[in-house]
Amino acid sequence: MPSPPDPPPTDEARRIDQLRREVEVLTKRLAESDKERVEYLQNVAHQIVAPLNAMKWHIENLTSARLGVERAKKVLRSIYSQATLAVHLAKNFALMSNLEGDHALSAVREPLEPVELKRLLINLADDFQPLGWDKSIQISVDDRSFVGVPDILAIKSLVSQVFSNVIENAVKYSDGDTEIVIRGEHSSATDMASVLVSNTGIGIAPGDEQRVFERSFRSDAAKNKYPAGTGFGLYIAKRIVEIHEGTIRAFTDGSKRRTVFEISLPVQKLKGKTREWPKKASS
Amino acid sequence: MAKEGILLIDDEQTFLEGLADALEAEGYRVFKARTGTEAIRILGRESVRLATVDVMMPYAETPAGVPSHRAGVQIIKDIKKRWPDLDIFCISVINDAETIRAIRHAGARFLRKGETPLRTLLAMITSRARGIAYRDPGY
Repeated sequence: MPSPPDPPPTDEARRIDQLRREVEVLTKRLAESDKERVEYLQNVAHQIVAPLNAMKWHIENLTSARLGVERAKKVLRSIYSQATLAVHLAKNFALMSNLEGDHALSAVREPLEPVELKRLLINLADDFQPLGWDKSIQISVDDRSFVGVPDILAIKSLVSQVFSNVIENAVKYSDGDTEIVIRGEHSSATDMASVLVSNTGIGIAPGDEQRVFERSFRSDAAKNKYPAGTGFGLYIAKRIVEIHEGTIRAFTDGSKRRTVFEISLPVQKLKGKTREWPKKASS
Repeated sequence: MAKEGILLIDDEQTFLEGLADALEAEGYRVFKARTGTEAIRILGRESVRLATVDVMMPYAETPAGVPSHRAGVQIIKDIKKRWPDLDIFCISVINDAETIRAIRHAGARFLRKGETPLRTLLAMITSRARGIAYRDPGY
């Protein structure tokens, strides 16, 4: 006997059905975000563990006493460059958790202090040079270009991380046997000091000049060259530059292989400001 | 004993320098590949006894459907298809059971990066190269 037709759905039944569909959508979204989170954590782990593991293996080689003096020196240099990388990455991940919310910016309690850009950039170039040597990349600071560039008032540890991120990025995405050049400029009209970091490598695809600063953005070329990145470095750099009321931009020349990052920071504008930071720019 | 060939497949070869040094000191011939495509080219040309591979690395010419930056598992599968007898050690920080299962199912031995001392890895490679089953001393 055929079953009687279903009674027409009541408003309540329709509402329940709609809620059920909404729950399904939300569950799916939650599963996707969970998958993204797992992948993100694996990327973080991969990036931190790779240099640490390299150091452990190098140390085992050193203690095995099979190495000659010259070889041992080279191994020690490699340990230093892997340690630089591990420290750099750990700082970025720590900063990332601070920069995630606007509220956390006021938590930056470090004072503003005069920062000599030339000295800072030379120190950073020295720090990253062993990493560069691994790929025959020379990092040069053009001393003369810094003549007349005044000290800037900034939170030193933060601006240092801006330049670290840009330099590490340049080392990572440069071709072997190339040079990374760091130059300084000062505009008295705007009272901004600028640092320009140029390198030759994967370049930036047209239209991606802004996107490279987006959180988690990684171009296909970047993923292909260095798969495990998180896309945080330049985002962190931009956020720090913003809280210093400066600007950061990237551009490429006609060959599309040469990339220049220009970081401009105010020289004196922040005087007197220690607690109140501008809000995150809406994107 | 002839010097046996070992192929190290990793996009960041600087992370493998320590392993390469130790293998060379043990008398192995070490080959290096930065992508799956390069690895297959070397395997077609050289006599290789064993390969190590990472998971988070590019294939270079990535087959459709494989995420370009996590091509390690696919590289293992493709190598095993053409060289089924080649021993493969997958050394990675990956910790999700599904990927580890896929790696083992593809016929590779999984070792966690950061937790495998160089001397253990060398002992394992030497055992495999001599065709002896490696016994974990239980460190």
